[in-house]
Amino acid sequence: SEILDVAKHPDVADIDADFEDPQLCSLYAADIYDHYRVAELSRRPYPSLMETVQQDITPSMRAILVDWLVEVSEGYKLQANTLYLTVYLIDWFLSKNHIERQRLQLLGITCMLIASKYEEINAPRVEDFCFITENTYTKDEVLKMESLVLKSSAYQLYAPTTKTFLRRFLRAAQASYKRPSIELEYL
Amino acid sequence: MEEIVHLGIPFLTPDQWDVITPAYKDFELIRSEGPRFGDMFKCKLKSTKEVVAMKILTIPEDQKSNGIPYSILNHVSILKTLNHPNILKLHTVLRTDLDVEDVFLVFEYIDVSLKKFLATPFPIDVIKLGKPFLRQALSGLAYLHVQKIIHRNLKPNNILLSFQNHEISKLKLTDFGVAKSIEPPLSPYSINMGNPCYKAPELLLGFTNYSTAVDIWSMGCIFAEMIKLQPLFIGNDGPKILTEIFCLLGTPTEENWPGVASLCSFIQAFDPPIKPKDLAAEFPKLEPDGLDLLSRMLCLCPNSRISAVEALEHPYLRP
Repeated sequence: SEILDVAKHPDVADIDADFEDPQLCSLYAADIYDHYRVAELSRRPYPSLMETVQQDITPSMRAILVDWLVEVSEGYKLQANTLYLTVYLIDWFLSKNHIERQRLQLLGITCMLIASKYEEINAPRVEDFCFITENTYTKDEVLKMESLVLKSSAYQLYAPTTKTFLRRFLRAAQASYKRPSIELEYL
Repeated sequence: MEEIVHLGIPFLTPDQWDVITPAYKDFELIRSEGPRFGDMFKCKLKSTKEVVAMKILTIPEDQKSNGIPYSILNHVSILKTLNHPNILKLHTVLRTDLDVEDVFLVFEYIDVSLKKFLATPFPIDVIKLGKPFLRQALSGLAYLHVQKIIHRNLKPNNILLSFQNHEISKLKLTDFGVAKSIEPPLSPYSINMGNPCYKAPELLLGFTNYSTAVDIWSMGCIFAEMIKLQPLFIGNDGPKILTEIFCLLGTPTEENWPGVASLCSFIQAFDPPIKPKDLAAEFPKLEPDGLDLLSRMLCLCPNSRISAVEALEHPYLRP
Protein backbone atom coordinates (compact mmCIF):
# COMPACT_ATOMS: atom_id res chain seq x y z
CA SER A 1 0.00 0.00 0.00
CA GLU A 2 3.00 2.21 0.53
CA ILE A 3 3.84 1.87 -3.16
CA LEU A 4 0.27 2.69 -4.09
CA ASP A 5 0.40 5.78 -1.93
CA VAL A 6 3.59 6.94 -3.62
CA ALA A 7 2.04 6.35 -7.03
CA LYS A 8 -1.00 8.41 -6.04
CA HIS A 9 0.93 11.24 -4.48
CA PRO A 10 4.29 11.30 -6.18
CA ASP A 11 6.83 13.45 -4.41
CA VAL A 12 7.69 15.69 -7.34
CA ALA A 13 9.94 18.63 -6.71
CA ASP A 14 8.50 21.83 -8.18
CA ILE A 15 11.27 23.01 -10.46
CA ASP A 16 9.52 26.35 -10.86
CA ALA A 17 9.52 27.14 -7.16
CA ASP A 18 12.27 29.70 -7.59
CA PHE A 19 10.09 32.81 -7.77
CA GLU A 20 12.90 35.16 -6.88
CA ASP A 21 14.68 34.92 -10.22
CA PRO A 22 12.60 36.59 -12.95
CA GLN A 23 14.96 35.16 -15.61
CA LEU A 24 13.46 31.72 -15.09
CA CYS A 25 9.95 33.02 -15.70
CA SER A 26 8.76 30.69 -12.93
CA LEU A 27 5.23 31.99 -12.89
CA TYR A 28 4.47 30.95 -16.43
CA ALA A 29 7.11 28.29 -17.08
CA ALA A 30 4.76 25.31 -16.79
CA ASP A 31 2.16 26.93 -19.08
CA ILE A 32 4.81 27.98 -21.54
CA TYR A 33 6.12 24.41 -21.85
CA ASP A 34 2.57 23.08 -22.27
CA HIS A 35 2.25 25.50 -25.14
CA TYR A 36 5.56 24.29 -26.63
CA ARG A 37 4.36 20.70 -26.61
CA VAL A 38 1.20 21.62 -28.52
CA ALA A 39 3.16 23.79 -30.95
CA GLU A 40 5.64 20.96 -31.52
CA LEU A 41 2.86 18.58 -32.56
CA SER A 42 1.15 21.00 -34.92
CA ARG A 43 4.33 22.09 -36.68
CA ARG A 44 6.26 18.87 -36.95
CA PRO A 45 7.81 18.21 -40.38
CA TYR A 46 6.56 15.01 -42.08
CA PRO A 47 8.76 12.06 -41.11
CA SER A 48 8.20 10.47 -44.52
CA LEU A 49 8.98 13.58 -46.55
CA MET A 50 11.84 11.91 -48.44
CA GLU A 51 9.62 9.07 -49.72
CA THR A 52 6.48 11.08 -50.39
CA VAL A 53 7.43 14.61 -51.38
CA GLN A 54 11.01 14.45 -52.62
CA GLN A 55 12.17 12.68 -55.78
CA ASP A 56 15.52 14.21 -56.57
CA ILE A 57 17.19 14.33 -53.15
CA THR A 58 18.04 11.59 -50.65
CA PRO A 59 18.35 11.46 -46.84
CA SER A 60 22.14 11.41 -47.13
CA MET A 61 22.11 14.62 -49.17
CA ARG A 62 20.13 16.26 -46.40
CA ALA A 63 22.63 14.91 -43.86
CA ILE A 64 25.57 16.34 -45.84
CA LEU A 65 23.79 19.70 -46.05
CA VAL A 66 23.17 19.79 -42.30
CA ASP A 67 26.78 18.81 -41.52
CA TRP A 68 27.97 21.61 -43.75
CA LEU A 69 25.60 24.09 -42.11
CA VAL A 70 27.04 23.12 -38.71
CA GLU A 71 30.45 24.15 -40.05
CA VAL A 72 29.03 27.38 -41.47
CA SER A 73 27.43 28.24 -38.14
CA GLU A 74 30.77 27.68 -36.40
CA GLY A 75 32.55 29.77 -39.04
CA TYR A 76 30.20 32.70 -38.48
CA LYS A 77 30.02 32.03 -34.70
CA LEU A 78 26.23 31.71 -34.78
CA GLN A 79 24.05 30.81 -31.78
CA ALA A 80 23.01 27.19 -31.37
CA ASN A 81 19.38 28.39 -31.60
CA THR A 82 20.04 29.67 -35.11
CA LEU A 83 21.32 26.28 -36.26
CA TYR A 84 18.37 24.40 -34.77
CA LEU A 85 15.87 26.81 -36.31
CA THR A 86 17.65 26.54 -39.69
CA VAL A 87 17.29 22.76 -39.76
CA TYR A 88 13.65 23.04 -38.71
CA LEU A 89 12.90 25.52 -41.53
CA ILE A 90 14.62 23.25 -44.07
CA ASP A 91 12.60 20.20 -43.00
CA TRP A 92 9.37 22.17 -42.93
CA PHE A 93 9.98 23.43 -46.47
CA LEU A 94 10.93 19.94 -47.69
CA SER A 95 7.69 18.58 -46.20
CA LYS A 96 5.68 20.71 -48.57
CA ASN A 97 7.82 21.50 -51.60
CA HIS A 98 9.68 19.35 -54.07
CA ILE A 99 13.23 20.56 -54.62
CA GLU A 100 15.97 19.66 -57.13
CA ARG A 101 19.36 18.64 -55.77
CA GLN A 102 21.07 21.68 -57.37
CA ARG A 103 18.93 23.95 -55.22
CA LEU A 104 19.20 22.10 -51.90
CA GLN A 105 22.20 24.13 -50.78
CA LEU A 106 20.38 27.33 -51.78
CA LEU A 107 17.51 26.28 -49.51
CA GLY A 108 20.04 25.61 -46.72
CA ILE A 109 21.69 29.03 -46.76
CA THR A 110 18.35 30.78 -47.22
CA CYS A 111 16.91 29.11 -44.14
CA MET A 112 20.07 30.01 -42.25
CA LEU A 113 19.70 33.63 -43.40
CA ILE A 114 16.13 33.74 -42.07
CA ALA A 115 17.05 31.98 -38.81
CA SER A 116 20.00 34.36 -38.28
CA LYS A 117 17.82 37.42 -38.78
CA TYR A 118 15.45 35.94 -36.21
CA GLU A 119 17.98 34.87 -33.59
CA GLU A 120 21.25 36.80 -34.02
CA ILE A 121 22.08 40.28 -32.82
CA ASN A 122 24.59 40.79 -35.63
CA ALA A 123 23.30 38.50 -38.36
CA PRO A 124 25.49 37.77 -41.39
CA ARG A 125 24.17 39.41 -44.56
CA VAL A 126 22.93 37.87 -47.80
CA GLU A 127 26.38 38.46 -49.36
CA ASP A 128 28.04 36.43 -46.61
CA PHE A 129 25.82 33.46 -47.29
CA CYS A 130 26.46 33.68 -51.06
CA PHE A 131 30.19 33.87 -50.37
CA ILE A 132 30.27 30.60 -48.39
CA THR A 133 28.74 28.77 -51.34
CA GLU A 134 31.65 30.15 -53.41
CA ASN A 135 29.02 32.28 -55.11
CA THR A 136 27.20 29.29 -56.56
CA TYR A 137 24.03 31.30 -56.03
CA THR A 138 23.41 34.99 -56.59
CA LYS A 139 21.96 37.44 -54.11
CA ASP A 140 18.80 37.61 -56.21
CA GLU A 141 18.35 33.86 -56.07
CA VAL A 142 18.68 33.88 -52.28
CA LEU A 143 16.16 36.71 -51.89
CA LYS A 144 13.67 34.93 -54.19
CA MET A 145 14.16 31.75 -52.17
CA GLU A 146 13.59 33.71 -48.96
CA SER A 147 10.26 34.84 -50.31
CA LEU A 148 9.35 31.24 -51.19
CA VAL A 149 10.33 29.87 -47.78
CA LEU A 150 8.38 32.58 -45.96
CA LYS A 151 5.34 32.01 -48.12
CA SER A 152 5.53 28.26 -47.73
CA SER A 153 5.79 28.46 -43.94
CA ALA A 154 3.09 31.17 -43.90
CA TYR A 155 5.49 33.18 -41.71
CA GLN A 156 5.14 30.72 -38.85
CA LEU A 157 8.84 30.85 -38.22
CA TYR A 158 8.98 29.94 -34.64
CA ALA A 159 8.82 26.36 -33.51
CA PRO A 160 10.14 24.66 -30.41
CA THR A 161 13.29 22.69 -31.24
CA THR A 162 15.17 19.92 -29.46
CA LYS A 163 17.13 22.56 -27.65
CA THR A 164 13.98 24.16 -26.22
CA PHE A 165 13.11 20.93 -24.43
CA LEU A 166 16.69 20.01 -23.52
CA ARG A 167 16.91 23.15 -21.41
CA ARG A 168 13.79 22.19 -19.52
CA PHE A 169 14.89 18.57 -19.02
CA LEU A 170 18.27 19.69 -17.72
CA ARG A 171 16.56 21.92 -15.20
CA ALA A 172 14.28 19.07 -14.19
CA ALA A 173 17.34 16.89 -13.74
CA GLN A 174 18.29 19.39 -11.03
CA ALA A 175 21.43 20.35 -12.86
CA SER A 176 22.75 23.70 -11.78
CA TYR A 177 21.71 26.22 -14.37
CA LYS A 178 24.95 27.82 -15.40
CA ARG A 179 26.99 24.80 -16.36
CA PRO A 180 24.51 22.89 -18.52
CA SER A 181 23.59 26.05 -20.41
CA ILE A 182 27.20 26.67 -21.30
CA GLU A 183 27.66 23.09 -22.41
CA LEU A 184 24.51 23.33 -24.53
CA GLU A 185 26.11 26.05 -26.58
CA TYR A 186 28.57 23.45 -27.84
CA LEU A 187 25.99 20.83 -28.75
CA MET B 1 -17.19 58.34 -33.21
CA GLU B 2 -14.74 57.33 -35.90
CA GLU B 3 -13.38 59.79 -38.35
CA ILE B 4 -13.20 58.35 -41.79
CA VAL B 5 -10.98 60.17 -44.19
CA HIS B 6 -11.30 59.20 -47.81
CA LEU B 7 -7.92 58.10 -48.89
CA GLY B 8 -8.00 58.06 -52.64
CA ILE B 9 -5.00 56.59 -54.35
CA PRO B 10 -2.20 59.10 -53.63
CA PHE B 11 -1.04 57.41 -50.42
CA LEU B 12 -0.47 54.10 -52.18
CA THR B 13 2.30 53.49 -54.67
CA PRO B 14 1.31 51.85 -57.98
CA ASP B 15 2.97 48.60 -56.84
CA GLN B 16 0.98 48.55 -53.61
CA TRP B 17 -2.15 49.29 -55.59
CA ASP B 18 -1.44 46.27 -57.82
CA VAL B 19 -1.30 43.99 -54.81
CA ILE B 20 -4.48 45.20 -53.17
CA THR B 21 -6.89 45.71 -56.07
CA PRO B 22 -7.46 42.09 -57.04
CA ALA B 23 -8.79 41.33 -53.55
CA TYR B 24 -10.15 44.58 -52.13
CA LYS B 25 -11.97 47.76 -53.04
CA ASP B 26 -13.25 50.87 -51.24
CA PHE B 27 -10.12 52.09 -49.51
CA GLU B 28 -10.54 54.36 -46.56
CA LEU B 29 -8.00 55.46 -44.00
CA ILE B 30 -9.07 54.50 -40.50
CA ARG B 31 -6.05 55.42 -38.49
CA SER B 32 -2.77 57.14 -39.01
CA GLU B 33 -2.01 58.07 -35.45
CA GLY B 34 0.68 55.81 -34.29
CA PRO B 35 2.21 52.69 -35.75
CA ARG B 36 5.96 52.86 -36.11
CA PHE B 37 5.85 52.21 -39.79
CA GLY B 38 2.91 51.73 -42.05
CA ASP B 39 -0.67 52.81 -41.53
CA MET B 40 -3.97 51.08 -41.18
CA PHE B 41 -6.51 51.27 -43.96
CA LYS B 42 -10.14 50.34 -43.92
CA CYS B 43 -11.05 48.10 -46.85
CA LYS B 44 -14.02 46.15 -48.04
CA LEU B 45 -13.76 42.62 -49.38
CA LYS B 46 -15.23 42.35 -52.86
CA SER B 47 -16.64 38.88 -52.44
CA THR B 48 -18.20 38.89 -48.96
CA LYS B 49 -18.55 42.67 -48.43
CA GLU B 50 -16.71 42.14 -45.16
CA VAL B 51 -14.93 45.21 -43.82
CA VAL B 52 -11.30 44.65 -42.84
CA ALA B 53 -8.35 46.74 -41.71
CA MET B 54 -5.13 46.56 -43.67
CA LYS B 55 -1.71 47.47 -42.40
CA ILE B 56 1.18 47.89 -44.80
CA LEU B 57 4.63 47.09 -43.46
CA THR B 58 7.04 48.94 -45.68
CA ILE B 59 10.57 47.66 -46.00
CA PRO B 60 12.94 50.63 -45.65
CA GLU B 61 14.79 51.28 -48.91
CA ASP B 62 18.24 50.80 -47.34
CA GLN B 63 17.27 47.37 -46.00
CA LYS B 64 15.77 45.94 -49.18
CA SER B 65 19.10 44.49 -50.35
CA ASN B 66 19.05 42.11 -47.37
CA GLY B 67 15.55 40.76 -47.88
CA ILE B 68 12.77 40.84 -45.29
CA PRO B 69 14.05 42.62 -42.14
CA TYR B 70 13.93 41.14 -38.64
CA SER B 71 11.24 43.56 -37.47
CA ILE B 72 8.77 42.23 -40.05
CA LEU B 73 9.73 38.55 -39.56
CA ASN B 74 9.22 38.95 -35.82
CA HIS B 75 6.00 40.94 -36.13
CA VAL B 76 4.28 38.58 -38.57
CA SER B 77 5.46 35.33 -37.02
CA ILE B 78 4.12 36.45 -33.63
CA LEU B 79 0.77 37.50 -35.13
CA LYS B 80 0.52 34.11 -36.82
CA THR B 81 0.62 32.27 -33.51
CA LEU B 82 -2.13 34.33 -31.85
CA ASN B 83 -5.79 33.41 -31.69
CA HIS B 84 -7.83 34.93 -28.86
CA PRO B 85 -11.05 37.00 -28.64
CA ASN B 86 -9.10 39.92 -27.11
CA ILE B 87 -6.31 40.01 -29.69
CA LEU B 88 -6.91 41.68 -33.06
CA LYS B 89 -7.23 38.79 -35.49
CA LEU B 90 -4.91 38.57 -38.49
CA HIS B 91 -6.83 37.23 -41.49
CA THR B 92 -4.15 37.01 -44.16
CA VAL B 93 -0.74 38.16 -45.23
CA LEU B 94 -0.61 39.46 -48.81
CA ARG B 95 2.68 39.42 -50.69
CA THR B 96 3.63 39.95 -54.29
CA ASP B 97 5.68 37.51 -56.28
CA LEU B 98 8.03 40.35 -57.08
CA ASP B 99 11.42 40.45 -55.41
CA VAL B 100 11.36 42.27 -52.12
CA GLU B 101 8.10 44.07 -51.64
CA ASP B 102 6.05 45.44 -48.79
CA VAL B 103 4.07 43.07 -46.60
CA PHE B 104 0.31 43.59 -46.33
CA LEU B 105 -1.43 42.42 -43.18
CA VAL B 106 -5.20 42.07 -43.28
CA PHE B 107 -6.93 42.26 -39.88
CA GLU B 108 -10.49 42.20 -38.63
CA TYR B 109 -11.94 45.70 -38.40
CA ILE B 110 -12.67 47.34 -35.04
CA ASP B 111 -14.18 50.82 -34.67
CA VAL B 112 -12.00 52.94 -32.46
CA SER B 113 -8.83 53.02 -30.38
CA LEU B 114 -9.00 53.68 -26.64
CA LYS B 115 -6.96 56.82 -27.25
CA LYS B 116 -9.57 58.22 -29.60
CA PHE B 117 -12.38 57.10 -27.30
CA LEU B 118 -10.88 58.92 -24.31
CA ALA B 119 -10.43 62.03 -26.43
CA THR B 120 -14.10 62.22 -27.40
CA PRO B 121 -15.84 65.16 -25.69
CA PHE B 122 -18.61 63.25 -23.91
CA PRO B 123 -17.48 59.77 -23.11
CA ILE B 124 -19.95 57.38 -21.58
CA ASP B 125 -19.60 56.64 -17.87
CA VAL B 126 -15.98 55.56 -17.91
CA ILE B 127 -15.90 54.38 -14.30
CA LYS B 128 -18.64 51.90 -15.12
CA LEU B 129 -16.60 50.68 -18.08
CA GLY B 130 -13.46 50.16 -15.99
CA LYS B 131 -14.30 46.65 -14.87
CA PRO B 132 -15.33 45.08 -18.19
CA PHE B 133 -12.44 46.91 -19.84
CA LEU B 134 -9.84 45.56 -17.45
CA ARG B 135 -11.29 42.04 -17.49
CA GLN B 136 -11.07 41.79 -21.26
CA ALA B 137 -7.72 43.53 -21.54
CA LEU B 138 -6.17 41.26 -18.90
CA SER B 139 -7.66 38.15 -20.55
CA GLY B 140 -5.82 39.08 -23.73
CA LEU B 141 -2.66 39.79 -21.77
CA ALA B 142 -2.81 36.54 -19.79
CA TYR B 143 -3.17 34.68 -23.09
CA LEU B 144 -0.10 36.45 -24.51
CA HIS B 145 2.03 35.78 -21.45
CA VAL B 146 1.17 32.09 -21.43
CA GLN B 147 2.17 32.03 -25.11
CA LYS B 148 5.53 33.41 -23.91
CA ILE B 149 5.02 36.74 -25.67
CA ILE B 150 5.64 40.17 -24.14
CA HIS B 151 3.80 43.00 -25.94
CA ARG B 152 6.22 45.75 -24.77
CA ASN B 153 4.23 48.63 -26.28
CA LEU B 154 0.83 48.75 -24.59
CA LYS B 155 -0.76 52.21 -24.75
CA PRO B 156 -4.25 53.57 -25.48
CA ASN B 157 -3.52 53.67 -29.27
CA ASN B 158 -2.98 49.93 -29.25
CA ILE B 159 -6.24 48.92 -27.63
CA LEU B 160 -9.21 48.84 -30.00
CA LEU B 161 -12.83 48.96 -28.86
CA SER B 162 -16.32 48.31 -30.21
CA PHE B 163 -19.44 49.50 -28.41
CA GLN B 164 -22.98 48.24 -28.27
CA ASN B 165 -25.64 49.94 -26.15
CA HIS B 166 -22.97 52.01 -24.37
CA GLU B 167 -21.11 48.90 -23.33
CA ILE B 168 -17.85 47.48 -24.58
CA SER B 169 -18.78 44.67 -26.95
CA LYS B 170 -15.26 43.97 -28.16
CA LEU B 171 -11.80 44.82 -26.88
CA LYS B 172 -8.73 43.91 -28.91
CA LEU B 173 -5.02 44.36 -28.20
CA THR B 174 -3.10 45.25 -31.32
CA ASP B 175 0.28 46.35 -32.76
CA PHE B 176 2.77 43.59 -32.07
CA GLY B 177 5.52 45.50 -33.89
CA VAL B 178 7.95 45.38 -30.96
CA ALA B 179 6.54 42.31 -29.18
CA LYS B 180 9.04 39.69 -28.12
CA SER B 181 8.73 35.93 -27.96
CA ILE B 182 10.66 34.82 -24.90
CA GLU B 183 12.16 31.50 -23.90
CA PRO B 184 13.09 30.73 -20.31
CA PRO B 185 15.73 31.19 -19.01
CA LEU B 186 15.36 34.75 -20.29
CA SER B 187 18.24 36.67 -21.79
CA PRO B 188 18.69 40.42 -21.54
CA TYR B 189 16.43 42.25 -23.99
CA SER B 190 16.37 45.74 -25.47
CA ILE B 191 14.82 48.46 -23.32
CA ASN B 192 14.55 51.09 -26.03
CA MET B 193 11.05 50.48 -27.32
CA GLY B 194 7.65 51.77 -26.23
CA ASN B 195 6.21 55.06 -25.10
CA PRO B 196 7.99 56.29 -21.90
CA CYS B 197 4.67 57.28 -20.26
CA TYR B 198 3.57 53.63 -20.07
CA LYS B 199 7.01 52.12 -19.44
CA ALA B 200 7.61 50.09 -16.30
CA PRO B 201 10.10 51.50 -13.75
CA GLU B 202 12.52 48.57 -14.26
CA LEU B 203 12.75 49.51 -17.97
CA LEU B 204 13.17 53.21 -17.19
CA LEU B 205 15.92 52.36 -14.70
CA GLY B 206 17.70 50.38 -17.41
CA PHE B 207 17.23 46.78 -16.27
CA THR B 208 17.56 44.55 -19.35
CA ASN B 209 16.48 41.37 -17.56
CA TYR B 210 12.78 42.16 -17.46
CA SER B 211 9.80 39.91 -18.08
CA THR B 212 6.01 39.83 -18.55
CA ALA B 213 5.51 42.24 -15.60
CA VAL B 214 6.34 45.22 -17.87
CA ASP B 215 3.00 44.74 -19.67
CA ILE B 216 1.08 44.68 -16.37
CA TRP B 217 2.58 48.05 -15.44
CA SER B 218 1.50 49.55 -18.77
CA MET B 219 -2.01 48.14 -18.32
CA GLY B 220 -2.12 49.67 -14.82
CA CYS B 221 -1.23 53.07 -16.29
CA ILE B 222 -3.92 52.68 -18.97
CA PHE B 223 -6.57 51.67 -16.42
CA ALA B 224 -5.66 54.69 -14.27
CA GLU B 225 -5.90 56.88 -17.38
CA MET B 226 -9.45 55.64 -18.01
CA ILE B 227 -10.47 56.59 -14.49
CA LYS B 228 -8.70 59.97 -14.46
CA LEU B 229 -9.43 60.74 -18.14
CA GLN B 230 -5.84 61.89 -18.52
CA PRO B 231 -2.50 60.07 -18.67
CA LEU B 232 -1.24 59.02 -15.24
CA PHE B 233 2.39 59.95 -15.89
CA ILE B 234 3.27 62.66 -18.39
CA GLY B 235 6.72 63.45 -19.76
CA ASN B 236 9.04 63.08 -22.72
CA ASP B 237 11.93 61.15 -21.24
CA GLY B 238 12.75 58.44 -18.72
CA PRO B 239 14.04 60.59 -15.83
CA LYS B 240 10.97 62.86 -15.99
CA ILE B 241 8.58 59.88 -15.94
CA LEU B 242 10.53 58.14 -13.15
CA THR B 243 10.29 61.29 -11.07
CA GLU B 244 6.52 61.39 -11.64
CA ILE B 245 6.24 57.70 -10.70
CA PHE B 246 8.19 58.22 -7.48
CA CYS B 247 6.15 61.33 -6.61
CA LEU B 248 2.98 59.19 -6.72
CA LEU B 249 4.20 55.84 -5.42
CA GLY B 250 7.25 56.88 -3.39
CA THR B 251 10.89 56.07 -4.05
CA PRO B 252 11.60 52.34 -3.97
CA THR B 253 13.29 51.04 -0.84
CA GLU B 254 15.36 47.96 -0.02
CA GLU B 255 12.23 46.56 1.66
CA ASN B 256 9.75 46.87 -1.21
CA TRP B 257 12.25 46.30 -4.06
CA PRO B 258 15.27 44.37 -2.80
CA GLY B 259 18.52 45.33 -4.46
CA VAL B 260 17.25 48.33 -6.40
CA ALA B 261 18.47 51.24 -4.29
CA SER B 262 22.03 49.91 -4.18
CA LEU B 263 22.04 49.37 -7.97
CA CYS B 264 20.65 52.67 -9.15
CA SER B 265 22.33 55.95 -8.42
CA PHE B 266 19.23 57.66 -9.84
CA ILE B 267 17.22 56.56 -6.80
CA GLN B 268 19.92 57.65 -4.36
CA ALA B 269 19.56 61.17 -5.76
CA PHE B 270 16.14 61.36 -4.06
CA ASP B 271 17.27 62.36 -0.59
CA PRO B 272 15.26 62.36 1.59
CA PRO B 273 13.19 59.58 -0.06
CA ILE B 274 9.68 60.48 -1.27
CA LYS B 275 6.73 59.01 0.66
CA PRO B 276 3.97 57.35 -1.40
CA LYS B 277 0.72 59.31 -1.85
CA ASP B 278 -2.67 57.98 -0.80
CA LEU B 279 -4.12 56.40 -3.97
CA ALA B 280 -7.68 56.71 -2.62
CA ALA B 281 -7.30 60.49 -2.59
CA GLU B 282 -5.90 60.44 -6.15
CA PHE B 283 -8.76 58.27 -7.45
CA PRO B 284 -11.79 59.33 -5.38
CA LYS B 285 -14.26 57.71 -7.80
CA LEU B 286 -12.68 54.26 -7.73
CA GLU B 287 -14.07 51.64 -5.33
CA PRO B 288 -11.70 50.06 -2.71
CA ASP B 289 -11.28 46.75 -4.60
CA GLY B 290 -10.39 48.68 -7.74
CA LEU B 291 -7.83 50.73 -5.81
CA ASP B 292 -6.28 47.57 -4.40
CA LEU B 293 -5.93 45.98 -7.85
CA LEU B 294 -4.53 49.21 -9.31
CA SER B 295 -1.91 49.43 -6.56
CA ARG B 296 -0.86 45.81 -7.23
CA MET B 297 -0.53 46.47 -10.96
CA LEU B 298 1.48 49.61 -10.23
CA CYS B 299 3.77 47.80 -7.78
CA LEU B 300 7.29 49.20 -8.25
CA CYS B 301 9.09 45.89 -7.81
CA PRO B 302 8.46 43.70 -10.90
CA ASN B 303 8.79 40.46 -8.93
CA SER B 304 6.00 41.47 -6.55
CA ARG B 305 3.74 42.95 -9.25
CA ILE B 306 0.52 41.00 -9.79
CA SER B 307 0.41 38.75 -12.87
CA ALA B 308 -2.39 38.87 -15.47
CA VAL B 309 -3.73 35.48 -14.35
CA GLU B 310 -3.72 36.53 -10.68
CA ALA B 311 -5.35 39.87 -11.52
CA LEU B 312 -8.25 38.10 -13.24
CA GLU B 313 -8.93 36.35 -9.91
CA HIS B 314 -8.89 39.62 -7.96
CA PRO B 315 -12.14 40.50 -6.08
CA TYR B 316 -12.56 43.65 -8.26
CA LEU B 317 -12.84 41.56 -11.43
CA ARG B 318 -14.68 38.52 -10.10
CA PRO B 319 -18.11 38.44 -11.73
